[in-house]
Amino acid sequence: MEYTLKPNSLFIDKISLVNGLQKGEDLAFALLYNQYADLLFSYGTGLGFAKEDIEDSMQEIFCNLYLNHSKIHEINNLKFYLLRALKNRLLNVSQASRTQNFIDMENVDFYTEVTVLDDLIDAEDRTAIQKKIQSYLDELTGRQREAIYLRYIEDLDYEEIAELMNMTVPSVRNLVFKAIKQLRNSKIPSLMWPILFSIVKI
Amino acid sequence: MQTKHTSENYVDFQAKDFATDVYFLQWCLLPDEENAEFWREFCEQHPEKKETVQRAIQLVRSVHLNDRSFSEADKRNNTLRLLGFIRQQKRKEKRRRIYAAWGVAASVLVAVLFLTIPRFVSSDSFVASSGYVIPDDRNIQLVSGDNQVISMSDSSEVVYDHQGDVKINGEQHDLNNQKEVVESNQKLVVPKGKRASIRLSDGTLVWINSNSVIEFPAVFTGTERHLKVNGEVYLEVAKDPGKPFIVSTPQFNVEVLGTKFGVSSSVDKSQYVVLVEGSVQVHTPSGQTARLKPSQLFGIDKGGTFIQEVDPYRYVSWKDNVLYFNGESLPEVLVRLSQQYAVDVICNIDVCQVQFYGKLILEEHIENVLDNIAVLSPIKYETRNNKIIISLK
Repeated sequence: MEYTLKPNSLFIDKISLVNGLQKGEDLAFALLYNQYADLLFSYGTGLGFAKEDIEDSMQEIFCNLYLNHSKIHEINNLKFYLLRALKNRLLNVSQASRTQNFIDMENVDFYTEVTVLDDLIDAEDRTAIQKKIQSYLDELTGRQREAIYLRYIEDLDYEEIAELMNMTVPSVRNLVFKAIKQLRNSKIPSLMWPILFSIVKI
Repeated sequence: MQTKHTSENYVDFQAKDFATDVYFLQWCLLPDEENAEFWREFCEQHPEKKETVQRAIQLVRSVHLNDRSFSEADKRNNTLRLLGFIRQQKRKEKRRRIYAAWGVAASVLVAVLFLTIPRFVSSDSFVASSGYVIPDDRNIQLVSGDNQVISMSDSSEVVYDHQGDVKINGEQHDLNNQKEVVESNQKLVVPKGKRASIRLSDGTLVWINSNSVIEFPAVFTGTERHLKVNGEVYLEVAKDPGKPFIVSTPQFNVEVLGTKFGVSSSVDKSQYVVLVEGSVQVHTPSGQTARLKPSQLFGIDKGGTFIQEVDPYRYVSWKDNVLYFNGESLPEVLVRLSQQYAVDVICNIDVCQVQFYGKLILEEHIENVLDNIAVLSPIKYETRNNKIIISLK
């Protein structure tokens, strides 16, 4: 498949990418897809979905985005928009197929798998750090992990996290605050947490 | 209460010890006032540990959660699936458009009325230049106040002295010998694929990128210095506190307080002001004002205006005949080049995933630039009917 790159379509920055999307230029959509594919895949994985489900949902989201491309400028934060659309889409999928039984949004577990990307330390230390951080995160609830993931990895603000997680801003802050407190106390090993909130891989 | 978090506990820590310490992790993952204060104090009390702490921060920053990525093949297939849908949709739209032509015509009329009225009301400096059509002439043209036209080659140096006399490549041109002509506007027209630079009568330097027009008086006689821009320029404004320098574009005005900055106002390209040095104030027709700090970009898109921190040199490097890229995809690089050289470029979907880092010298011909790219990346090109076709090697 080939493109003609028109001299008037410049995607060197966010502004012009949005302008390209607005005009419905297919190259802009291809670039947007490639830019956010891994990020959306990571989030979908965290929500516990299989690769095929995530891919299909992403396809639908981007097709819908194209169908409404004349309104794209109304989207303030494309990343947030895509993450929210993916979550809604995936939850719909899980409700339709009975194989996964999420009862409601509040009970979605969220997995976090820790990877240390720094390659200047030796493998042994890297694994040690990975394990340690993993064990801290494992002690949190799924929702706390999701909030931390969205705040720390996706760099969303509290308002956006609140909307994505269907909560109020104060309760997100509270959730994160509790997570902090819990991490703080985790030096004293609590047997309760891992049992109550163990990670169940689907 | 938090007795275990005393500085002494940490004096023997190595970077990896910090990176596995829960209190340190909290600060990195979820900073709050309390833990930020603790670690700031710790670094003050133990300056010898500062480097170790820095290294530990670096380590934790490299921690990624759910680091998943699609394979290149998956991404390619998904992108093709998406593009297939978009193209199918476009064909449907085309068919529908024939029937809806009358409806569209009516709505365009309404939109035009909407857009033009505010411009007339809010500022008298938005005139003529917005409607100027750049001729298809291959040469750069200087149009004087009495409509004399001088054509010149690519690397010409145009200098106006303080009396409004023009020198092109050191050669005097009698353009503005009548008094009324001196005050009227001069025009420099740079067609697609060319670049030019000019020194105005006050010493201000202007670089003009391809497909752009500027208008200016031979000498600045009024209380303000006015420059009209339609297109992309980079300016180094000569200081004159008594005479503010104002750049007007169809979309906004920039008030300069002695400075280096880039402006782009093409309707087709991005519309932005990016500040390299000094200070500028941007005024939009809707009455908005924004003062920029160095490295800030003021942009306009269909959603309105915004300010963003950027690396300003990336936006103005064309004046030095180079373009800088930092992880842009190859199509973005090619679009930039097709704009600069006014050539159509056709590329294959595969090149979407090729990323580009570093600087690219804008040689005289686009072929030379593409040769350089072909050395660095897995692409090849061919020329067919004045179009350049790019594909993977």
